[in-house]
Amino acid sequence: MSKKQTSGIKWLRKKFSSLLVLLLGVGLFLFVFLPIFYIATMSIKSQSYVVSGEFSLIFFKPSFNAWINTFNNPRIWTGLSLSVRTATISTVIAVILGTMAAYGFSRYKFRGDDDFLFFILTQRMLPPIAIFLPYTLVWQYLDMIGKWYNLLIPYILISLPITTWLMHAYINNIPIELEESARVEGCSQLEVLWRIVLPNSLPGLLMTSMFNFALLWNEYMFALFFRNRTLPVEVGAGIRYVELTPWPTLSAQGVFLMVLPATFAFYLQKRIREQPITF
Amino acid sequence: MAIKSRDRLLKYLVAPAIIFSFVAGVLPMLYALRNSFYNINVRLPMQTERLIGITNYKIILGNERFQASLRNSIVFSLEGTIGAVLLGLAIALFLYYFLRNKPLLLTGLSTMLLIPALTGRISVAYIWRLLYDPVLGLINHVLGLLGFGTVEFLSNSNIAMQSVVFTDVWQWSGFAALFLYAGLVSIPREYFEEAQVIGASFFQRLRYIIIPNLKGLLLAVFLLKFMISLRNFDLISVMTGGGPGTATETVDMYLYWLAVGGRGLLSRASAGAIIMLVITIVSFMIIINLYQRQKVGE
Repeated sequence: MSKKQTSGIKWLRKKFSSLLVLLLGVGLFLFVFLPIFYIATMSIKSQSYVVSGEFSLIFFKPSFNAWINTFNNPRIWTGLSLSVRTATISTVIAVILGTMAAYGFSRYKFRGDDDFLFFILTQRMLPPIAIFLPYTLVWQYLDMIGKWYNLLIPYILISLPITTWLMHAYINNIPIELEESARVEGCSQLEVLWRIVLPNSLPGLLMTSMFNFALLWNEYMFALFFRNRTLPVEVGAGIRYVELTPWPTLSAQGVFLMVLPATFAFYLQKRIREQPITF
Repeated sequence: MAIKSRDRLLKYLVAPAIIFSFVAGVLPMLYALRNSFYNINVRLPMQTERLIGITNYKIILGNERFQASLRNSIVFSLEGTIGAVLLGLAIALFLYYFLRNKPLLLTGLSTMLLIPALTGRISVAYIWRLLYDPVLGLINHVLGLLGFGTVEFLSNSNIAMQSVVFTDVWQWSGFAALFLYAGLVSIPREYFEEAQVIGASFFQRLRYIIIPNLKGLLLAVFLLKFMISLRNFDLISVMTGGGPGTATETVDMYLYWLAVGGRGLLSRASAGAIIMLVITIVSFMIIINLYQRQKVGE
C-alpha cells in the first residue's frame, strides 16, 4: 500500500515537473512572440477601431488601410532602395576585407599579430558619437552631407570588426592539414585560399554576411546624422506626430522594416548553436 | 622559399583591414581629440579657430546634464548587458536541459528567440512603445484587468529608464541564449554523468561545471552585448526621445544635441566624446583583462 502511494507521489511529481517545463516553454515563447504579434495585429486594425477604445487581441474587423498607406508612400520605397544599396555594398566590402584579414591572422604568425587583430576589433568599441563628430566636419568640407555614399565608410568601419571576428573564429576551426596537403600537391597559396578555404568557410561567410547585413539594415544613427533617409530613418520619423499617433500605420511600417532580417533567423540560429564562437 | 612567399601573401591579406581601420577609425579620433582643444562652432563657420586648451573639458565635466547623460549611458549599458546575459543563460539552460533532444521544438524556439535581435531597434522601439502605451498598450490593459491602475512606463521619470532597459533585455537575451547554448553543448557529457553519479544538485552543477566551463563564452557574450549597448541612440530616441525631461538621455543624444541641435558647440561635444571614449576603452580593458586571465587559467 505504502509502496503504491510513493510511486503515486512520484508519478505526480513527474507529471508536475513536465507541466512546469511545458509552462516555462510556453511562457518563453509568448514572451518573445506576444510583442511581435501585438504590433502585427495593430497594423491590420483601422485607426477608427484603435481610437474607439475597444480592445481585442484577435477578434476585430481587419483593415488593410495601414498597409495600403505604407505601400503607397513613395518615401518608403526610396528608403528601401537606399537601405538595400548601402547595406549591400558595405557588407560586401566589409566581408571581403574581413575574410582576408581573418585568414591572414589565423594562418600567419608575426610579431604583435594578436595586438593588430585586437586593434581591428576595438573599432567597434568607439562610441558612435566620437565617430560622427569628426566625420561631420570632413563631410561638410567635402560637401558630402546628404550624399548617399557618405554612409559607406562609417558602415564599413563598424562592420569590419564583426566580420573579422566571426570569420576568424570560423576559419580557425578549418583544419590546417587540408591546406597543407593541397600545398604538397602543388597548389599555390592563392589557389589554396580559393579552392580549399573559401568553399570550407562558405557557411561561415553566409552567416557573417547575413548578420552584418541585418546590422547595417537596421542602422539608424549615422543615416540620420549624415542626412540619408534610409528605411529606418523614414520609419523612425513617424513617431514625431504630436497630436494623435497613427499606430496602425506606424505598426505596418515597423513590421515592414523587420521582415527582411527576420528571414535570416532560421539559418542563423542553426549556425550560432552549432559551435561556440569566442575570441 | 615556399614558406616565405606564403608569408608575404598573408601579409597583404591582413594589411587592407588594418590600414582601413587606421585611416577611417584612428585618424578621425585624433581629429576629434585635436578639435576638443579648439573653439569650433558649426553655427559660426566664419569664426577663426582658436586653441583654447582644456576649457572645453572643464566646462563639460562640470555640466550637470552631461554628468546625468553619462550616468544614463552607464546604467543602460550595464543593466541591459547583465540582464541580457543572465536571462540568456537561464534560457540557454532551459533549452539545454529540456529541449536538447527535441530538434523540432528547439529549432522553432531558437528561430523565434533570434528574431528580436535581427529586428531593427526602430521596430523594437515601436513594439514596446505600443506595449507600454497607457491607452492602447497590452501591458496596461492586462494590468487593468487585474485591477491595477495605469502605469506610465515611459513618461514617469522614475521608471522610464528601467522600461527602456527591459526592452533592451527582451531584444538581446535570446541572442545571448543561443551563443551560450553552443557553449553548453560543447561541455563534455562525462562531467554531467559524473555529477549524476555523485548526486550533485542543479546548483552544484551550475557552480562547479557549467559556470567554469562557460566563463570564456560568458565574457565574450558580455563584451559583444556591451558593444551593442553603446549604440543606444536609436532605441532611446524613438522610445522616449531622452525624456521625460532628460531622464533617459544618453551621452550620444546629449552630445549630438550640443553639436548640431543646440548652439553648435562642436568642440565642446568633441571633448565629451573623448571622455566617453576613454571611459569605454578603460572598461573594455578591464573586461579583456579578466577574459585573458581566465584564458591563461584554462
